[in-house]
Amino acid sequence: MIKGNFEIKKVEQESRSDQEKFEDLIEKSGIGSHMVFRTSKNDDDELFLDDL
Amino acid sequence: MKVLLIHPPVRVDHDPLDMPQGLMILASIAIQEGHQTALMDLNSQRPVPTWQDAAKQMAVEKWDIIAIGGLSSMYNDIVKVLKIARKLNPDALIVCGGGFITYMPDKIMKFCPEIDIAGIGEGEELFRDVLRTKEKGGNWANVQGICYRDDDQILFTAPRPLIPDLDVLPLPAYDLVDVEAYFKFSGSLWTAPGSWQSKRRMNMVTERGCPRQCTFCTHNGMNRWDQEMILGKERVRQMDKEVGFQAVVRFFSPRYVIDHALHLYEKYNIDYLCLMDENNTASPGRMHEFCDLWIKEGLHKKIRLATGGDAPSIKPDLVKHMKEANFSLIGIGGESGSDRILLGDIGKGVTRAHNQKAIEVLQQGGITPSMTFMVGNPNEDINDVLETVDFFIQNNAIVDPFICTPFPGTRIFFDNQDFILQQYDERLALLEKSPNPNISDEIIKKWKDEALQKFLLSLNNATDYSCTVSKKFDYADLLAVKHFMHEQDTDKLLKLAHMRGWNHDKKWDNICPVCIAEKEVSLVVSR
Repeated sequence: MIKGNFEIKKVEQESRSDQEKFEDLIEKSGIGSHMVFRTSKNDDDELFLDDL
Repeated sequence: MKVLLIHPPVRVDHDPLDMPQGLMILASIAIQEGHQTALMDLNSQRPVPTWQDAAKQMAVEKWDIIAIGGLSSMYNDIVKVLKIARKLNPDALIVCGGGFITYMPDKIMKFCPEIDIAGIGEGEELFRDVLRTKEKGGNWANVQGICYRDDDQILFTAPRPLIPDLDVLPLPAYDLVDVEAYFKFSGSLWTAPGSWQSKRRMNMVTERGCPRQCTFCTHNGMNRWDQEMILGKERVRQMDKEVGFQAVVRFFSPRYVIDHALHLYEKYNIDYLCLMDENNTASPGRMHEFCDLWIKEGLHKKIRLATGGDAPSIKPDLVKHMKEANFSLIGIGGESGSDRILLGDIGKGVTRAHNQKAIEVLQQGGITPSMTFMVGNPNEDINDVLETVDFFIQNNAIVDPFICTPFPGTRIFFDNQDFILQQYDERLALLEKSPNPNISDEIIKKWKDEALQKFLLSLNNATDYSCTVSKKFDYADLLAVKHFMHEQDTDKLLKLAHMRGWNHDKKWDNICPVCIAEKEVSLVVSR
């Protein structure tokens, strides 16, 4: 995700739960005509600004 | 200084197609200037990294300068990146550039308080000046082509002329991108022999601008047409006198492009190279020179090629030479099957006959033609749509047309601003129908700004609907028409014409199910 001309500490990306992977799949491919619950994320928390 | 360049995600529902070449050149410039430079590419993976992961990675260093670039279609994510970048780096200088900010830098800076400096148009020498000025303490008034903050004001500096010789630019900093990550998606681009089989495809931009002036198109502030749109014709003519002619199109020299390609072959063993240019055949002499050099270097035996072209310049001798150089695909903006739209609304200066001839010449020459089309130009009606579908059918081609979308900077954006904003604020739409003198200009201006922000946030790939400039179709019509064009379902298009009261030309009577039925019923009655 990041590369530089100097040494930068690489942060491992957090592994994702099956639910999150599934939501990514839905986001990318659509789901046909069956109802699927789209997201478990709260939009307000999406950027996690309060945690930074 | 520590310089971070950030490439936000692009079209997350598609595979990533392009490395961020513009930012990679800026990275090379920052390195040339002696800075510790990093590039954070949020687009190379699918799924894209979460914002939380991006923030954690950004937080490992304290950055002095953060540069973010992108197109209008990326605005939604750029806004998010900006919030994270500012929260983590309250003292950094945040510089933005690219198509999303070039055409209304003061407005975007008002909407995004995180931005310190907006770069207008071509960014390379501008970014070099920004780096040097920051080191000297930041006297921004002398840096050409930017918007900057001075207390509560947002100020413009003098315009920056185009770079006269593109060959002075350094190669993109490939070392700062995860090249192997992009190779995973090598086969995702364009359906032509060679491209979908490629294992190590790369893209390169070798042209800036275009000689044509299509009303739906922009060049990210990097040619004369765009400068005229931003500055006005008189100011650009003045620049012609002061600093040299501001060109409609500029190319890297064939020698520069081939040296670049040799570098990519030697370092990354690429097997396919897309020259992602707007109109690379518009200068046939240059293309012949390129093909000669490409063959002389033996690259035609190692790398297949694709590029974008221009229908009237597709001639048999040029196609023969390009085939010898190992071009497998030329993409062309076909836009419409109707000359009324091509010559009128779009102002392309190209006709259906030009497009047809280009397809035939390319097919005869063994290069795959690929054309894109659109629907929803301002005066495009059902007859134009049927002409376009007829073009698809005549050529046995499958096409899902784009929706004509007024991206900022285009002529259709500037010509339809009020109509666009009314689609994002019902109060403005109501006032258009029933003006109310009791509502002050200040309030209307506030509503317009809110609508503009909603519009910008809604922009995405033009395969999706965001807003329309059509005077003939509302958005429900437009989505239906687009779908039936893709299906080449002329029955439903003509039935829709009767349902909506759109007059179709007599030439379609013999395939229109409603007209055929009316004729048959009247014959039965008359008997």
